[in-house]
Amino acid sequence: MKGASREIFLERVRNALGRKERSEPPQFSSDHNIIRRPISTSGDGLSGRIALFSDRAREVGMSVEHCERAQVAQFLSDWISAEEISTVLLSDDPLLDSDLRKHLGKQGIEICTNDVDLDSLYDQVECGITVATAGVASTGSLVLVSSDHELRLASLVPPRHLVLVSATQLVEDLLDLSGPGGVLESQGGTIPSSVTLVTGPSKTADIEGVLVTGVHGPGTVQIVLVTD
Amino acid sequence: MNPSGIPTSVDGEPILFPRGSHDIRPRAEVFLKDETLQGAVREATTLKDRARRDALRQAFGADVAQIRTLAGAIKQHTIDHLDHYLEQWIDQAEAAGTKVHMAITAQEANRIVVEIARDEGARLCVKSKSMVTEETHLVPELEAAGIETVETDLGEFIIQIDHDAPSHIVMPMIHKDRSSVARAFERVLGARYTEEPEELTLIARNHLRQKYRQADLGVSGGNFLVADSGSLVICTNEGNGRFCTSAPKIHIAVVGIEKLIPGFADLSVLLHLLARSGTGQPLTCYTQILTGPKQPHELDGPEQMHVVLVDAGRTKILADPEFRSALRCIRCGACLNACPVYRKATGHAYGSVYSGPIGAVITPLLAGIDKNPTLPEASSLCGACHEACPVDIDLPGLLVGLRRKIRKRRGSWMERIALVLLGLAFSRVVSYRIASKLQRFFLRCIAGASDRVHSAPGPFSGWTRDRDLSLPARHSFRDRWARKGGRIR
Repeated sequence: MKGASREIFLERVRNALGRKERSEPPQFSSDHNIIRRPISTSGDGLSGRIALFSDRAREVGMSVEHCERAQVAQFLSDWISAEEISTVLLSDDPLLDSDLRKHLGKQGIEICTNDVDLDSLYDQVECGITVATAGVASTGSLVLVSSDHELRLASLVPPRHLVLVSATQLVEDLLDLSGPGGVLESQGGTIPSSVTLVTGPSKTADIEGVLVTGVHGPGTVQIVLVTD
Repeated sequence: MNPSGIPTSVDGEPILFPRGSHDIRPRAEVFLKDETLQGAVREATTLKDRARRDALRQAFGADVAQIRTLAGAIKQHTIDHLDHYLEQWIDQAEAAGTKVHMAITAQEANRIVVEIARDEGARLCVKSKSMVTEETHLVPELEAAGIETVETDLGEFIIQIDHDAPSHIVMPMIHKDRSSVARAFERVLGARYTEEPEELTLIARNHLRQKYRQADLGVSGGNFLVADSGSLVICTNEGNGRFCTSAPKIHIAVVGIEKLIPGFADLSVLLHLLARSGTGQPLTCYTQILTGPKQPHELDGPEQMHVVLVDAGRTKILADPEFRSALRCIRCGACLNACPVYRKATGHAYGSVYSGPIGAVITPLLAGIDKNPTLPEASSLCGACHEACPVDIDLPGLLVGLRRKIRKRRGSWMERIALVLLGLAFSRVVSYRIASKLQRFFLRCIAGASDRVHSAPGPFSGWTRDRDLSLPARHSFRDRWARKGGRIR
C-alpha cells in the first residue's frame, strides 16, 4: 500500500463526522422496491419478462431474435452466412456445441477459440459469439461475466457481437441480480472479477451531439433469446 | 494568450485552471460574445435536459419524486456514515485481491499512481474519462514521469491532442465543433481532412486500438464503490472504459471517497437514475462492476487492480454539516444542462473542472472560497438545478449558504451596514412601509422620464451594470387593496 496509512485516512473521515471511534450505522430502512415497475401489458412471469426485455433491448439499438434451444446451431449458421461473416470467435459454452462447429466448418467459416492470439483477435475476428449469464428486462441489459469459458475481450474487440441468453435467465429488474441466486449475490462467496451490463452497442455523441455507433466496442449487438 | 488574458489552446479556445484567484465574470463575458459556442451549448443542453425529463417520466411516471428522494437518502446515509462504509469497502476489496491506496491530497494521489506505474515499468498508459483525475491533473504527472498517457474517451482524446480542457462533466467537448476535430486529426494524426462525425470517430477508433494493444497500464475513474462487496462500478458508453480495465495487465482506478454506497440494491436505484439524468439513456451502454483483478480460473483481465481513494478536500466538506449534502453528487451533469447561467456562460467560464451549479458549490468548497469568491454568484437561484438533481441536492440553498460565508469574510463595511439597516427595516410593518415608499420615490427620481432605471448611482451601480431595472408600481399592492375597501390585518 502506498500513500497515507489506513488508520490516519479513516481517522480523518471519522473526525470530519465528529466521531471518536468506529460505529455501526443505523439500519437504513427504505423500500428499494419502489423502482420496480409493473412489468408489461403482456402479462407477468416469463412471457412478460421476454416481451419487456425484447422491447427494451430494441429501444437501445440492439437486435433481438427468438430461437428454440434445438435450433440454435441452425440459426447461428444461417445468420453468419447472411451477414457474410468469415471469421468468428466462439466462447466455450454448452450452448455453442459441436453441432454448431460442424455447421460452420461446412460453410468454410473460420472459428477462433479462447486461445486466439491478439493479432487475430484485433485484426481478423469479425464477430464475437458469447453467452450472457442473465438479462435484465426493465433496462434491456445483458449481463456478461468473466469466467473460465469466456474472454472479456470477446464481447469487446470484434466489430460485431452476437450474444445468446436463455429466456429462463431473464430477471425483472437490476434489483434481482443481487437477490437469491443472482450473479451479484456475494453472500458467502466471491463474485466474478468482472460483471458487465451491456445496454446497447458502443456509442458516442461527442462530436456535435451526432450519434455514432461502434466507437471502441462493437457497433452492432445481435441478441439471440433462447427459449425451451 | 488572447487579449482577455485567458490562456488559449491552438484553436484559440480558452483552457481551464487559471492559477491563483479567479473571477467568473470577465471569463463569462468572453464566452457570451462567441455566437457559435452559444448556439452549440444551448442546443446540446436543451436537448439533454429534455431527454432527461422524458426518460424519467417514461420510466417512473409520477413516482420520480419519490425515487429521487430515496436516491438522495441513500447517498446522504452513506456519507453520514462514511467512516463505516469506507472501512467495509476496503476490507472487502482487499479480500478480493484489490490493492487499496489512500491519498489525503491530490498530489499524493498522483504520486501513488506514478509510483505504481514506475514500479511495474509501465511505458504506455490508456486512460478512460475521470473527473477526479482532471481535478488532480494526473496526466501531466504521468507524462513527466516518462509514461505516455492517452485519453481514450473520444471527447477527452480530442481535448488532449488540442491541449484544451473539458467544459462539461458528461459532454467534455460540448464547446468544440466538428471542424476543430477535423483540424486536430489532420494536424496531429496526419489524417485526411473530413468533417463527417462517422469518419472522424473511425479515425480515432483505429488510432486508439493500437494503443490498447500496446498499453501496459490502464487508468480509470469510478462512478460508485459498493461497500458490501468491495466493487468498483464504472459507467461508460463508448467501450474505451472496458478496454482500459480489461486489456492492460495493470488497472488503477482513482476514485473520490464520496462514491461509496452500501450495497447492490442501492446501486440499482442509483443506476436507474444516473444515465437517465445525464443523457436520457436507461443505463449507459456499459456498466462494469469490477471486483478485484482476474481470478486464477478466469481467462483474461488485469493481473493487478489498484484503487486510489482520494480525499483532496472532501473531508473538509464532510465536516461542515451545512454543505455535506454536496457530496451526494453522482456527476450526471443534469444541473449543468438545466442551468440558464451555465447555458450562457458555458463551462470554461467557471475556470474549474466542475462547472455549472454543482461546480459553483464544490469548487469553492474543495479549492477554497477565497480563490473562488464569485462562483456562488453565478446563479439566478431559479431552482432548475435542484429540480433536475437525481439525488435531491438543494443546490440553490447551498449557493445562498456560500454567499453568506463569503459576505462574512469579504463583505465591505458599507455593505454590512446596509444589510443591517435592511434587516431592521424589514422586521417591522411601519418601517417596511416607509422603506418601500422611499425606495419607490428614489427609483422614480433616478429613472426620470424613462420607465426603467438604466444606471443606478454609487454602490447600487452593480445592479444596472448588465441590465436595466424595472420600476416598481406607482402604488403598492397594500395601498391599492386598501383603497378598494379590502381589509388589511
